[in-house]
Amino acid sequence: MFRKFRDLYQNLFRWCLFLGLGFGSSAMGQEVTRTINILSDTSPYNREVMPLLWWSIGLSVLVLGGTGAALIYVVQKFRLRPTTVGEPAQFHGNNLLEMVLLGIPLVMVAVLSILTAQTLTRVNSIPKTGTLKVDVTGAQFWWDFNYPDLKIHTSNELVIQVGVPIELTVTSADVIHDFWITSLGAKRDAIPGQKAHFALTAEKPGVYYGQCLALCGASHANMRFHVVALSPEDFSAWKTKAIAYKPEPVATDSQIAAGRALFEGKGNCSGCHAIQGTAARGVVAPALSYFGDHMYLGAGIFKNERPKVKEWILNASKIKPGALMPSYDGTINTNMKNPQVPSLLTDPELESIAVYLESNKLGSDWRKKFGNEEY
Amino acid sequence: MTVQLPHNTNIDRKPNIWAILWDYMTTGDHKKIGILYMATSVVGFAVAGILALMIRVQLAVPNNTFLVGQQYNEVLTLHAVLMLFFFIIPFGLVGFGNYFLPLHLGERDVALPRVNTFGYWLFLFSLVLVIFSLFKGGPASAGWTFYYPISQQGGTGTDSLMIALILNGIASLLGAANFCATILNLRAKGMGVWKMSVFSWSIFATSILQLVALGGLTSAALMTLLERKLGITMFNSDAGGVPVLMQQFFWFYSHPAVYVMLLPYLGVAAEIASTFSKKPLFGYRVMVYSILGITLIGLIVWVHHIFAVSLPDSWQIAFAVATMLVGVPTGAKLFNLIGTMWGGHIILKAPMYWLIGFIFNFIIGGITGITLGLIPFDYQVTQTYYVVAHFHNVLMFGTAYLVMGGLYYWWPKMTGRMMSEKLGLWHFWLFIIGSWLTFMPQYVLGLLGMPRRYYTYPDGNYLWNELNMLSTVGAFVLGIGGIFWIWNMLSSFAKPKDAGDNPWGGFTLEWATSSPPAAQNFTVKLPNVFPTERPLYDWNKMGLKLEPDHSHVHLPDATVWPFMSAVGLLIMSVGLAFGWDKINPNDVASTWLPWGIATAAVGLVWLVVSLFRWAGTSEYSTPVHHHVLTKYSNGQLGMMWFIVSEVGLFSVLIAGYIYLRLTGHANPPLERPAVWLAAINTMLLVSSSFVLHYAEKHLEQGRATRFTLGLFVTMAMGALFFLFQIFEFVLFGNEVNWTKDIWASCFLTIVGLHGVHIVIGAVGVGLPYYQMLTGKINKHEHGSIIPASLYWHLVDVVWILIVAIFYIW
Repeated sequence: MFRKFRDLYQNLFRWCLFLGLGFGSSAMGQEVTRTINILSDTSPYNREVMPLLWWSIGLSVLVLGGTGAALIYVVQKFRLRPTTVGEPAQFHGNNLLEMVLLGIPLVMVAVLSILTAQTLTRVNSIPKTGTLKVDVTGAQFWWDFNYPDLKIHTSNELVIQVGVPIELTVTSADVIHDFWITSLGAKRDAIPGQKAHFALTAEKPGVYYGQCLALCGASHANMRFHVVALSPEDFSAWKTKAIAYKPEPVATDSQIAAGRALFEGKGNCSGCHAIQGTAARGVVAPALSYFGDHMYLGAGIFKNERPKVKEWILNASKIKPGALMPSYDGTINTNMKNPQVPSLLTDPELESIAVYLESNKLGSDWRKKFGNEEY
Repeated sequence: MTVQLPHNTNIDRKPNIWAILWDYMTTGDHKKIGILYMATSVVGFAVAGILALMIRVQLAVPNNTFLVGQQYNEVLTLHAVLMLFFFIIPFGLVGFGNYFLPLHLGERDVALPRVNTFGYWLFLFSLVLVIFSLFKGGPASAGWTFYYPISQQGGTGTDSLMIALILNGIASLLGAANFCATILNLRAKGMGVWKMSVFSWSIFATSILQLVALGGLTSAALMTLLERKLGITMFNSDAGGVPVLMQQFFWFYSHPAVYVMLLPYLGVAAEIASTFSKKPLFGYRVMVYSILGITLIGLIVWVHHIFAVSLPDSWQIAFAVATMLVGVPTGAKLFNLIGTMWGGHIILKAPMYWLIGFIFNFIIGGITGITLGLIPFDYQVTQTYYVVAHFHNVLMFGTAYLVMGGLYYWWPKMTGRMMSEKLGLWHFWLFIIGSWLTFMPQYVLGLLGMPRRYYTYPDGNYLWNELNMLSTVGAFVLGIGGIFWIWNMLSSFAKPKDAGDNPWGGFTLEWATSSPPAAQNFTVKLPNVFPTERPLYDWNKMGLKLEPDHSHVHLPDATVWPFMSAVGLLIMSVGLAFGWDKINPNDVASTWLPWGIATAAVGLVWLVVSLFRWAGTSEYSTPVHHHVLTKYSNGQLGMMWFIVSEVGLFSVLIAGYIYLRLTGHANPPLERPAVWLAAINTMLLVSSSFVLHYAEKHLEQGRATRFTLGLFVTMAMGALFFLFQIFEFVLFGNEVNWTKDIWASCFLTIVGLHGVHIVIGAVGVGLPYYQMLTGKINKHEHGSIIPASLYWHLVDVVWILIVAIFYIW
């Protein structure tokens, strides 16, 4: 049953350790460590929500403390003891007390309602100017990002600037997804045929963890993404490079050239994928323009390393359930609506394609810049 | 004492298993039906619990491979469907409700015993349909919420789930209408509604809620099914539809459903609190008003499930306020439970433990529920484990504790045996520890950003591994607690009957019966005075003795035809669900249509034959007249309440159409269905209503021939109407491509559904016609004509509305 039975034991061990040492090193031996906490005050959105939360926590303590204490008192004081005799007083209620007990929660509800309405209008407002516009499209099981003003198109890894509100327009190409940059605040459903519109701001440069939050099929859990937030200088440098990006028309490296030929020819990858500055203009699959810079493969689930890339191309649905990419190992991907008889790719051919994909980059090494921390 | 019992309960020899089975298939006894519901729900809980353990095994460690991808989604969907529709909803409403409502009211049975039998078997067959889908075509995997358009992907499991939900809904509505009629028509002489037990009130309120709101779920399931099978759609954005409309339909029921799950158990809680504190309820009227308040406000909070779909801010705020407001009456209930215990002599036995556990846990669940109404915070935590923790907090270690409480409380009454107190406390403490260990870490996981419905999660997220492992350990503690529970129930049967009639010293009427109660429930004559909701206490104080009852008792005869009718519906549903995949209008040959149509047709014939046989079997072996409290007969009152649900169903669908029309999504085509045809049809239907009305009048005056003729003419006009409508559909269907036209889809759905109602109504009129021909109706015996004609008039009124919104507008 468990392919990773050993992991279970390791985790049990780690769990005991965790109980023993308190909230110690939770992610021992991990390369990437993520500290995701929606209550952390590192984003403006979370700070907006904080007062609301403090109010509700305060009121909760009152309610739970009051009723909990009453309950414990009642059970302790009035439990039937061997010495108890006779019949308890048969009273039927107390209207004044009822009124008070209805009044208190009504006041609490009124306070929370007003605070909610005020906070909501603030967090749902979008600045008229000075935003960075990004169109987000969810699809089974990846994310597409378009910067309508900058004419940049990328997928699964979004690059933004800190301090600038990101004006997001979220929609879907197939079923309903839900777009959430976990540590930055609000989420919105990505619904086919309609557009959700909202703004978020990052303040701290770094890599942010994003996820799909609406059950969307077999790989709902594998529909993640990452957001790289850059300082204004870094962002403007990246932007300039991205807009100008164009691979060499004829690659000097023969393997890259072979990879490109396969990508646009035998593999017919370009039918679905786009690479800026080439004949590859497909839109039904993630854009691979700056794939060499990407930290992850397969919508944030695997590290972007050549062996994994090759494994992916050979049969994506084998390592990501429900993936809608044709396989190149002679099998037919039945997840696809119109599965086609695929062409076979040999190992050297896979290697060439992987090398070509790696060569598509702007030279930004986010891991080097930000380390293995994610938020 | 002469008790005229149904023949088959006359047990002279030791009954074999088949005799018992036959008895349960044919009985109209509310106690047996209640037991069937409860037993089925226990099985549902057990299976869903095992599925939950599988889920927790998969999530115990990151990157686990026990249940991957679609398989996980299937388990997740089935877990939720079973827990909600086959455990928590039926256990309280139709399980406890059937068994104890008539007892609390001091009556012999519910208003319509045979409808009750039919309801149970339909409920069971809806479960059979869900299970059937495991073996053919792949089970549903879109979550119990089956959002559009993910619900359009996947195999026939989703089709069968949709049909199962509709059948389950019909069963539930029949039960709810039956309860309403029972409460209004059958109460012990002298018992006013304000002297009913709070449990009876809670069943009443829940039934009303079910009748008003269930149309939302039925509409969502129906539209999902129609698009899957025929491409008829209101939601498809490619054709101009609105996917979120499905969520509005769905949550219009599924939020009130939360109160359908809760309210009966709040009634149980009140009974336990009063009995175990030896005191009357604190603030009886406030408790009743709270129940009614929850019912009312619960209907207008559903949007809080879908704040993240980007509705206008003002709408979100309105629903958020209502969401927080519903906490006020719910809080009042909890305060009053504590108030009831205040100053009492609290007997700390198993049922009381469950009640105390419930109150404490439910306060926490209530508070986290309020936080979900804080919209900006909701934007963060919605669809995360915070929500998972919240709803398990209120359902699993809130409401389900009262399932246990009620079961421990009433077990001696139902079986005559006490459950072991020691095992009961083991069960309780394991459940307390297990549920806190399972679900409290999930609150934290939500705040740390873990999404719900993920089959896997990456290594390296702060505390995710530890908290998930903790949660899995807790789930197994719960599992062990469950074993103690089952063991406790089974081992009690090994003992002799040791409970006595009133082991807890309760003061409501069920404790005035033997344990288990006799077939006719009460063997004593109940006094006619009810000073408070605790009659046994009052009578004792007043010095009134319960004298043995020497009057004649008439109980309904057993019949197999309600069961057979449900079998017919099951066969029909199997044909409809599995008979074919999507019909492509251009490619009919690619489907296995004939098999499906044939099966469905066999089921339909089976159903109709069974219904007629049912109508042809008298309920009592000798004609009797029962005293009822209102001027309406039981059948009439039941139908009036059932009609509430029909109005609800059409209202939801029509509201959907009007919304689509007003927002420009559903624009009528240039070639509209012909108005002259509609005019003829309107004439036909309106005059048929008059004919039926006069036929009834003739019956009252004893003019049998005219009555028979009137029914015949009504049915003939109905048939003519239906033929015209088929003609119209064929004409219109050829002109439009309904898979691309939202208006046409709305038209076909709503007018088509009305057509189905015409058929049902005509069969309904056919039943008294058949009763007339076989001599079962006369001047005094009206058979089923009154409910049938009520239903026919309803169908008529709906048609006039349809003419207005589709042909004239």
